[in-house]
Amino acid sequence: MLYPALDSLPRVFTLSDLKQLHPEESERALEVVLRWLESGVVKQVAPPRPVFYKVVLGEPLSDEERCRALLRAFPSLVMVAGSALWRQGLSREQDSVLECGVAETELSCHLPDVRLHWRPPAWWSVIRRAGGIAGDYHGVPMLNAELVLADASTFAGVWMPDRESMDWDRLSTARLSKASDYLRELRPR
Amino acid sequence: MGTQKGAGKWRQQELGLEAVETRLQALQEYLAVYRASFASSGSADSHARVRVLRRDVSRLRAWGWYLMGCRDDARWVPAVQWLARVLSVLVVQQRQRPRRRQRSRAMRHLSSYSLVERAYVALEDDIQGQLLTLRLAQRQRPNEVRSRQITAMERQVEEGVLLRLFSLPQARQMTVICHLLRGCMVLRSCLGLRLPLADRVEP
Repeated sequence: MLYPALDSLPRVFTLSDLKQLHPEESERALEVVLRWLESGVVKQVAPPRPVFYKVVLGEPLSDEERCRALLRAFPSLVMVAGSALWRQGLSREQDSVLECGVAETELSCHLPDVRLHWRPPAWWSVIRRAGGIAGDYHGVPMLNAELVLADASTFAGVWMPDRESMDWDRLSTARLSKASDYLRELRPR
Repeated sequence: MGTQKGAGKWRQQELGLEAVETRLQALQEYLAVYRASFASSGSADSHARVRVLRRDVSRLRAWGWYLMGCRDDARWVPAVQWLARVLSVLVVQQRQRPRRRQRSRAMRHLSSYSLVERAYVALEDDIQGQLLTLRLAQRQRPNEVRSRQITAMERQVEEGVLLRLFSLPQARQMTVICHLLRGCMVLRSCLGLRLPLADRVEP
């Protein structure tokens, strides 16, 4: 039996998806993906995780597809920094790179325009205690504005928009001060 | 011969434990995110997801404890196995509802057997993902060390498949083992004793 064509798979898929298409030939899945990777028609989202996306010339991944790929590769994913502010309509400056926090220490990611930042395990407890999630974007939870600011001042290396392009009226000083207090204990020494 | 068989069994137990620990790590990361979302939104959907995931985590942790007991030849293991055989007749087989009737994939209730089986499948996929990365590098720049790593990983995948297909107890017995040990873990937690396979992401 012929192995399923690449066309029968969604733009973002896992090794398990491929095996489920033809369970009786699942042991060949690895060989097939290796061939696809070598010919450049697919890329591994974050090696060595078994999540892949199809490379289509002239058709970059949509935001939804990038989010789906990230969610399948990183269970702890939370959107941070200017990316979260822009998507909540709190900043007029758009991010050029989607920035997210993850608990995994292996941060290499082959998705275009994505940057991952490591956060310590206690960070998720802090978010919970602070009630710091403001909805989600294509399934990726986003930090609320106050936690975005507190997080950016605690952990360096994230992109933030200019002060003038932020909508400060929608931020609460009390919540910002509380968020900073929560994150202070995680400040790297 | 006996030593070889013993080594094989030990390797399988280690592989089973690795599968459980890896899956636990992933489930606990999902749980941390869902709990944070629930604390912020208070939605019923997030609450349901948190409940289902907590249940999955505790059953998987119970299975991990059982595997550790088998590996270490713990004295309580034969008693648990005997109870599992006796009580398994009381377990009602879960009827699998068609997927379209389930509200969302994240909320699906899994039997203990499916939960553990998925952990083993996930480990196989993870190792195969690593194999892909290595094989790709090997074709571009072959070297002896990587070649040995590839061979070892291929053997690990084969052992993982054998473990999943032939070494798991019956589904009903597994349900009893997971529930019994989950109860013991709750008791240990109430008594302030350390729990096996403690959380790495958050308490």
